[in-house]
Amino acid sequence: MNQSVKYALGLLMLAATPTLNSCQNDFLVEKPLDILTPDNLYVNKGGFESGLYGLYNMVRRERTGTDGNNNGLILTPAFVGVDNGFSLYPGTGAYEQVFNEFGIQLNSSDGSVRQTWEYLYQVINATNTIVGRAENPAVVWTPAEKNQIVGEAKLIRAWAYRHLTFLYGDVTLNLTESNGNTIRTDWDRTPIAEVRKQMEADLLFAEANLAEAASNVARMPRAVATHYLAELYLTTGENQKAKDKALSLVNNPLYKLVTARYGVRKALPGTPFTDMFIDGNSNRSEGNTEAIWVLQNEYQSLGGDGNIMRRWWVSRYETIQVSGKRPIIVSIENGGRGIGRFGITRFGLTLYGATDDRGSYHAIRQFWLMNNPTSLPTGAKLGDTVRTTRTGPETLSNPSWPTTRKWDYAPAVAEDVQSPSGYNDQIYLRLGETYLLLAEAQLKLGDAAGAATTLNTLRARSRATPITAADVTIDFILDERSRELITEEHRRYTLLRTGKWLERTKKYNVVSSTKITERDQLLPIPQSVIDANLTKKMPQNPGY
Amino acid sequence: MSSSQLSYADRSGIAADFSGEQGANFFIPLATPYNPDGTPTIYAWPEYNLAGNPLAGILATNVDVTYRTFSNNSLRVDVPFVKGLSYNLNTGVELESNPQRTYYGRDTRVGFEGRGLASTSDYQSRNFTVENILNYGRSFGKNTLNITGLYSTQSTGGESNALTGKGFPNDVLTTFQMNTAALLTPSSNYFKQNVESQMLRINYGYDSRYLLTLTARRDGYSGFGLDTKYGIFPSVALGWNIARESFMSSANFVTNLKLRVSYGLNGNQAVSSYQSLATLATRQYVSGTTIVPGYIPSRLGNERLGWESTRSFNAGLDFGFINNRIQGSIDVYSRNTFDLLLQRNISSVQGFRSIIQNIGKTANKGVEVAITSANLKTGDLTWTTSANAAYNANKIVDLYGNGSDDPGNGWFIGRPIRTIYAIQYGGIFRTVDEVAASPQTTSKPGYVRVVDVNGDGKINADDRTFLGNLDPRVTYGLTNTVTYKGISLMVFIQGVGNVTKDNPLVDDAVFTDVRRNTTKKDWWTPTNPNATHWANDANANLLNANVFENAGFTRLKDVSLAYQLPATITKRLKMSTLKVYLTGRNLATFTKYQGLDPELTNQFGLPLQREFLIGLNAGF
Repeated sequence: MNQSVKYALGLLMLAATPTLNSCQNDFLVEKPLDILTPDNLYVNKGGFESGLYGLYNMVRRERTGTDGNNNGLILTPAFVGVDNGFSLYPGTGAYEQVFNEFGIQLNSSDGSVRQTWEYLYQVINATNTIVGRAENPAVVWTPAEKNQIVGEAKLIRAWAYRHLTFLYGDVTLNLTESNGNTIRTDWDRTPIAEVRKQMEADLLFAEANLAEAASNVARMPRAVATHYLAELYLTTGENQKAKDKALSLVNNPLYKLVTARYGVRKALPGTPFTDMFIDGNSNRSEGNTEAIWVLQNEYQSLGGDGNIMRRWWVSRYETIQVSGKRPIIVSIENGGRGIGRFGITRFGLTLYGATDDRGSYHAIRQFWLMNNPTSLPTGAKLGDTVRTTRTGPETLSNPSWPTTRKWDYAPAVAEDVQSPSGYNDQIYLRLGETYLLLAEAQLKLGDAAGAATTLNTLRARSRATPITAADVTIDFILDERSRELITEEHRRYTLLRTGKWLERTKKYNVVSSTKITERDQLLPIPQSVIDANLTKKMPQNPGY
Repeated sequence: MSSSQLSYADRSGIAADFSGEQGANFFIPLATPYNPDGTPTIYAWPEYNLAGNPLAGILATNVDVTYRTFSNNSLRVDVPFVKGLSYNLNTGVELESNPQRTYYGRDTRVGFEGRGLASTSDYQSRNFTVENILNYGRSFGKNTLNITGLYSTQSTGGESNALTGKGFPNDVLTTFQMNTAALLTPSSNYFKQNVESQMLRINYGYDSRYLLTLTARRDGYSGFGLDTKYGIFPSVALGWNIARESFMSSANFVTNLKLRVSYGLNGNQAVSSYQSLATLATRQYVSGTTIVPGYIPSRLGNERLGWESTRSFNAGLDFGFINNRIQGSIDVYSRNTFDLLLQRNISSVQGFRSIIQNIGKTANKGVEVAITSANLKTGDLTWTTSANAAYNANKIVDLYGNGSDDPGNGWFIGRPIRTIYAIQYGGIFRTVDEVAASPQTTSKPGYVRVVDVNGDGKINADDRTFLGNLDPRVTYGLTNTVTYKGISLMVFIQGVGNVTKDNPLVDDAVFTDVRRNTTKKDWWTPTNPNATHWANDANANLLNANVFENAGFTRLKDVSLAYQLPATITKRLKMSTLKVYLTGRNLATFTKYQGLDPELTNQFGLPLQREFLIGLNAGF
């Protein structure tokens, strides 16, 4: 080989250097630079905390919308198809329509039924990843830091199983991080009592290890565990324990019912009760002494996301026609833009006494202001009111149907009133509900007088008239919960817990009353889950 | 040897949206797409502010260009002292850069609502190939021997950095004002995948009559699990050139006759990089106004991900008769693929819907025939026919080693891998009595009936059944060319058979609140009770029974008529050639399929165009 050939060869080798100079054993080993893996994240406190914030993001998805387009409330069945909630404008084939129509539309192949299940198990696997990997002795943290983080993860695991058990009944109890090397096809449905034992253990661990006050507003304080324990014990019939837990929280000096006007609109007309829902008032740091857990949103922020509570609960008032005109357009005063997927049943609207702030026009919209100068009816002027539908049962697609103002108190943003999302921080759990859990425990323990006292404390805050022990029944407490928590609580779960879902929904929900049956107390197990259980038959819920 | 190329491609511009969710295809016919001054409106449907104008894309500023540098260098060294031995080094370097910039101003919906929407991305990729080839070729009498050894590596990688911004003071500076955005969302991406290959091939021939090829390859791919990166793929091929046998010397009409038989293993690496790794997805949260980083598990790892392999047997006969006036080939094959790389749906109690795995075994058996015949060759008239046809039957042989089917993935042993397994459309209810007698007691006349396949009086997932195969079993093509003097006519017909396809145009998917346009149909109404289509009612097909149709078709794909002017004329015009032609494309389709086109993937997309081309070919 002559010199020039050698030289040329050398040049070519140089051109080939990028691939040849790497050690051959390494050449096929992947070193992804843009992907985090569980193995390199969960190694220290910071890594585990970012795992937790991922979980908080997932919990917040309950109100974010499922399709990336601010549509689809993933826990729809918790809110509609119940005594006080129905779908006012159901989307064709959409989740809310399924829970208006039931029957053949509620089936195991329904995409939404499947999506909810997948969502909750995705959360569970993420919590299992944190709980399991926390046992790695190489993790750099103190025992207290570890227990705090594991406690929050376990609490969110219990949160997910709470949804699953109320929605689907017996569900698979999965407590270990999934691994691609062992895909199982023989999952069982664990008896609900056993799942609840695990929820209890997780919540007790959280209660024992979470800080009394969370280190920042994004995270849950210990009280969340106590609150959910009270509810769990009511569900399992351990009423004394329920009372103890609820009472410990009611007596906790950190938490107080909001009984006086406060916050950003203190000087404007309003009520103490409705002040809590106003954007800028919902967090503890903003004066809300009643808040236990507040979901965080932020406008135009990468971690801020948005929520669709207003979009879902506010009606399409801008389509109201008066004498052939459309005098109302979307505005902040009128509550921002909603598409009214959900509505409150007439029953839910009529539960309030005359003096009750919770039924006042500050809490439930009773009129809109004409604000469209280009489409005013003859003789009308800007600022005239258009009243909501005052009487009669709920019907579909009625733009004049009264709506809650809990969520329209946070109009998106002044410059974008059409925005589908809201960016307010939203109360997720508050002490008002703990009072109701306490009253329920007291009643079940035979202490109707105690229950009346508890309820009167709550009622007094909203100027509702006092009641007596004789008034307190389980139905009264369910009515009171509706008055206090309408659109906030997972109503279906409450009704199932008290064995009242079928009875009360038949009685009070005009849209669905003739359509629901015993079967509908549980959702079907998604067909995809049954299909994938190749080596063991997974039973379907009865009737599907 | 060295060859280098520089290339520049400009794909700038965004087309109007035709088939997107709010595309023109679905849009209300009463829309106002243009302002009085002729510019596109922001909301072409003012009452529906979720839909922008499908024309918005043409208003956007978009730059999408690709710069490519490609250099191929090779060197051949004939090794001295060893006759027939040579060494080849081939290297390839490819560098690509693809900057993209898009700006939607306030004259579009997204720009109006977001107060300007800008996105930029810079994508850079590299591809390096090195091949070392050692070749030895000699002839010894009637024996020929060729040995090739190969060692090669290939590395492909790239990264991109992208930035999306919205909320700008004005539209003037388009994408060049990121510093003023109210919200910036950056993202970055990286990938790299490497392949290492070794191969040894021995070709042996005796007297050009008997041919033997032995090949062994070993390929490694970075995208697979640590212990499963390499696959070994041997194969053997035999050829018998029958026409050259002495006993054929009297068979004058045989020009060519060759029998080929091969058996071997092939590998397929059909997954992208990092698919074997467990990953986390970003799910940020916010505390007050502080963004806090958040992650959740987003993909299951699979350390055992490896090669998909196909063991194939192929027997073929090449033939040519009467001086190749009739020539062609027949092949029969049997291909057994195992460890298929498939996205498998798994029980979601594991927190994931699916995982990529090596799964099961499939068998493909088929025949392929190609024949070309010069039917006529008399003086000025010639007529040639070329035909090809193929038949392929595909079925799953095994899935998980235990003989069980997998309904969740639609995989059934003994059936094609792309079989259709779904509930079955059973026409429409005509009367109240029909509804009452059916399992769909809450249905109505005019609504869709679903077949109660198992007859248990309920409609549920147990009524899913087999409704056809998405892959055609038969494909064929036929070309006829007739030439008379300077005139020639070419007709090309192609088609597929034995295939089934969903027809989404039948579905009245008008979406919630009737936001989408649909095709006109013979809808059922109380006064049109014998209609062919169900009622135009959002609740008529709540179980979403799809209508599947025979999607076989025969298409008159190309017809071309050309006239070549005779030399006497071209000479007078001082030209070497002059040809005029008329070509028609997609002239006619014969099919039972009622959708837009049986060949289209998206039945809502732009259909195939019927094209006519008149051309003039001149040479001087």
